[in-house]
Amino acid sequence: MTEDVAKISVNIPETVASKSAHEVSQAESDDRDLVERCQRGDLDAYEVLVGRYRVKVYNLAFGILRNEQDATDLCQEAFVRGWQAIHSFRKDASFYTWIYRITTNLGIDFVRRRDRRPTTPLDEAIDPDVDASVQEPPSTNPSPVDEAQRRELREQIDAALLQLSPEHRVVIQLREFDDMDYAAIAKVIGCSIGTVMSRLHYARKHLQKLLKPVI
Amino acid sequence: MRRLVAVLLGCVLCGSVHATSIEARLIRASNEDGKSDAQLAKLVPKLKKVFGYQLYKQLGIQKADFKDKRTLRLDLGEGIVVFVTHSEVEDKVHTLDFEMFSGRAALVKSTVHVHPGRTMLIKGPDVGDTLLVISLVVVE
Amino acid sequence: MTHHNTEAITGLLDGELKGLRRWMAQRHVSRCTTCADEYRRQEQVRQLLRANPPVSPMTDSPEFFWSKVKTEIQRRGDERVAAPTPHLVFADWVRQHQFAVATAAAAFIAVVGALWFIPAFRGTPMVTVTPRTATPVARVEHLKTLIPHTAATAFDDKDADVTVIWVTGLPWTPDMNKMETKFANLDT
Repeated sequence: MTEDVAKISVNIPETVASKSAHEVSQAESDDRDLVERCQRGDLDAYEVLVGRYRVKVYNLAFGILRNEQDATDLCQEAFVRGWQAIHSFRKDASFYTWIYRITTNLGIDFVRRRDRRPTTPLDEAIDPDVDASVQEPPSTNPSPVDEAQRRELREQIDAALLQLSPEHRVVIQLREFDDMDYAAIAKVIGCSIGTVMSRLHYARKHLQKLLKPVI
Repeated sequence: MRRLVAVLLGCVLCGSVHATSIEARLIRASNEDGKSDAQLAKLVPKLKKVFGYQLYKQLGIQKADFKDKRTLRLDLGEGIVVFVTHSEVEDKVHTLDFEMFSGRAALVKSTVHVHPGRTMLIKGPDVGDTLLVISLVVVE
Repeated sequence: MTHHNTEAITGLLDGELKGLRRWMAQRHVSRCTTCADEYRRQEQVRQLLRANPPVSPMTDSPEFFWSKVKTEIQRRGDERVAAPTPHLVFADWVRQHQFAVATAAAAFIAVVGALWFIPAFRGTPMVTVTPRTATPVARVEHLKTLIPHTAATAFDDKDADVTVIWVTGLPWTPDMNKMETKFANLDT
């Protein structure tokens, strides 16, 4: 994931526009055709949709639950629920936002029922058999010392993220790692844009305090 | 035979002449509940605009044809009597002399020059929330 | 920002503020050290998170994952659930489409305003209504009353289309009937 880093107080970033409108509408149009087929009972069409959004949904689930196995289970449950609710999907909506909303609601419920800390060490999470769409930090030929430092940093970040409420964790995940704009986040979590901004603000402030030693 | 013809001719001539008459009404105005009299349907809107009361009841009505210059006595009831004398007509304007009495007391007297159909309203005595009004109309 | 609206800093940092709000926030941050510090701190957190995304790739292969989903779907059969369609709250929707909404509103007002001047659309009939011809007014002469403390006046009420003789001060007592007349011969 790349981004334009804003310069302090001098260069304020331009208004967000992550994808071109044409790209978005083309993807959504494809999704709509697939959803129509799903609504007629075509499971093969649903397999395409699952393949398309599997990793994104998993990343969101992991961002909320901070546990690999729980995230996999949540991802699976989200897609199963998606199939069960496909009849209520409105064609003018975005499948991507819709499945994200299902995942978010399930994830927050899950966290409220079971508050767990991450148990999977970071080195075990890296599997060479996994597909190439995996997110990897941008580093080439790191030294063992660098790698250890990165690992420690990530652990601190993970620990800090776990301290956030599930609602704050969701907005951080969607904004910082999924690069969604406020309107899309508002649709996913079902609140106003103002609430998104507020939650993001307090999530960052909280993280600021927790990550003070490393910032 | 000649008498018969004369009588018939007389009738035709009389019929062809449109007799002018006077119509006088005595009306009681008040603010009581109820509906105004149906006979006053056309007059009530005018009465309301002039006097403002809500309820109008007709206490009496008299119609009489003008004959030469004889004075007509119109007894409207409640002791109200109107005397009307038709003096002349010129360009459709009728000149009338009238006097209005309540019992033996003369209330008002005047000479009016009026077109047929023009309603004249005379505000009579009032007691509490009740008022007596007299309306006069020349009918051709 | 005349006050320290630190939430707006978040919007500014994410490029979500537009137009006047953006200009005002930008201006404030460039002049207020408190807010500039807050901006810097948030930016650091953002950079740190983005530089260190969660690394926990999915261990299930695509085929394996799909097989699990399909099995579960088939196991649950025709069971249906409801999932609300994501949408913006109304205020946000209007803000997102403010230009279109403003244009539509302006067009609507312009059309209604233009139609207002066309009588047919106001419900008024196209035919000209001829006003009712009033009967010519009556002329009142020699108006008089004789009972003491009474007076009479005559006028035309154009609204009611009548001539009125207004007599004031008329008493209504039983004695009135006993009062003698001075005008007419009641015996005739």
